[in-house]
Amino acid sequence: MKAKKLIALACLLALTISLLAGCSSSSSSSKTTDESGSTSASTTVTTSKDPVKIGIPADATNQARGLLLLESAGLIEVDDAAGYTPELKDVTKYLYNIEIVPTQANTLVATLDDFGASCINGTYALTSGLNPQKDGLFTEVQEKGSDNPFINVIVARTADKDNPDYQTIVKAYQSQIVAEYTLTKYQGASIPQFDYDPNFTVSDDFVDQIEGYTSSKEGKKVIKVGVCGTGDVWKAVQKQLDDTNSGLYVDVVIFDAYNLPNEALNAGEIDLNAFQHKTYLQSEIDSQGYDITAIGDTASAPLTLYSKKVSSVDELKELAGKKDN
Amino acid sequence: MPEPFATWFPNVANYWSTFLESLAATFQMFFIAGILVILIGGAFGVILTITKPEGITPSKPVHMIFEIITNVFRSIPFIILLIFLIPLTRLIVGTSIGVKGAIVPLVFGAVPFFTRQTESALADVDPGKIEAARSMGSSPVGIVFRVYLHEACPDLIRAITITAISMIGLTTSAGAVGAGGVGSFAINYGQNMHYQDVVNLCVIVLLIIVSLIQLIGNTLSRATVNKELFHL
Repeated sequence: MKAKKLIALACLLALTISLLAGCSSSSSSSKTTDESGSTSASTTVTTSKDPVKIGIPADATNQARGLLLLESAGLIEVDDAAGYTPELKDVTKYLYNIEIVPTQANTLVATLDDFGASCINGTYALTSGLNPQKDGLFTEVQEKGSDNPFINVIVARTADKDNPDYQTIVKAYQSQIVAEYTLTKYQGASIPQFDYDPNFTVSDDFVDQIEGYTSSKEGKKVIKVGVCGTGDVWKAVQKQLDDTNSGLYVDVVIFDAYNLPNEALNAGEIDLNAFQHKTYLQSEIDSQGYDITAIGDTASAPLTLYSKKVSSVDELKELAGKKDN
Repeated sequence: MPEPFATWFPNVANYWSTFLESLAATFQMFFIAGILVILIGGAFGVILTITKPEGITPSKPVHMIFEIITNVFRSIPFIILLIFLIPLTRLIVGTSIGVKGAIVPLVFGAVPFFTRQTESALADVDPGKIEAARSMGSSPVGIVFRVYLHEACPDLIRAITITAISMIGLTTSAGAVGAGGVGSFAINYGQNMHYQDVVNLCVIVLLIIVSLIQLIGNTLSRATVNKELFHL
């Protein structure tokens, strides 16, 4: 009897703790945004000597983008020889008194209060209420058709790159409905990298309609596509495939980590994958010897510099102060 | 779905079918891997116990081999093991991804843990009882089944309970190989999308599962003390 009571008590305790943790994390983040206005004045004075900390993603390719973004914002100088993939060691000069801190990409939003500013991937920023167009200090420029290596791609094994079914899927991805879904859902944090009509209007529940779309694989050819994250955009692709009677069914396999979708594709366990930009793909091919190749562009998710302490790059420079090298 | 649920967990309601799929994946991984872990880990634990120098069939080489296997796999962090075992996983089940692909690393991850738990449960069996059985002419197999496993039954059930709960923890990492599951759902739809309600519900569900396992384990282990629940 006693044991039963204890168990019930323990359950209740754990339940309240987990709920409280959930509530407090959301309420604390909103509180800090209110206060940041009043505290920023004092931090400007006190931190003039310590370097201002700038968060950038910890993984290799996003870190490279972060460094290039800081360079184009005029905060640092990066060795040109490093091309599109500089590392922290390739920073040749700090123009302002800043310290660059690599941090897990998906925690940069939660830790933004602790940094002077952070370079955050669009996909992580938007879902937490940061809008690159409104809240960002500085955004990566990504032009369609340029040699920009940070455009995301659909990848197939090199031997299957002309497979007509895969080409059909690329065509379904590069359709108006996918563009409309991407732009409506991500509001500038993810930008389609194919031709579409930018003048469109969608109903209020358009995003919900797409995300609630279900299709059956019966009588269709199943194509396994490896993704990272939610893979909701593939519901729009599936809708396009069904609307055009292609007879194909996309089976989305969600991976939590970036290191496996290419391995699984190369080994033939999935048919396509779509989670990476060209730079990451190239580095994987170079280091792992995979025989895989990009067969179509999807979208790009620009990296943006955000801050809760300052509201422009100039203010950030002022906060840090010039650095004598 | 009841109305209050949709107001408390609005984002889970949107992803209801995905959530159910992830629950199913977690249970599949848990039960299939769990049964294998109990069988293999139990056998390993028995072998380690009986082959040690003061055991009933001492054998130094056998003891050493099992000791090394257990230690090696206990020292590899599970998330590394998942990737490290890919070639072997492909060889055994034909694929390294999905629920099937996660079961092999789950077994490799949990067997050493359960081996040690079994070993420690069997170590508590009164040596006098083993001596008595032996003097009455019991064979080693007889001693294992009629003395060791019988006497240690409550402790073994506690060991299974602890291992089962730690396996629930391991299944939450299996999303790395595309196996889905509640943990993967919490990361991809909860944490990364900043849908706190998704994370909360996943925690509550895991809490309920863990509490249930603990409750069943406690009850069974109490019921088997000095009782012939299992006639072995």
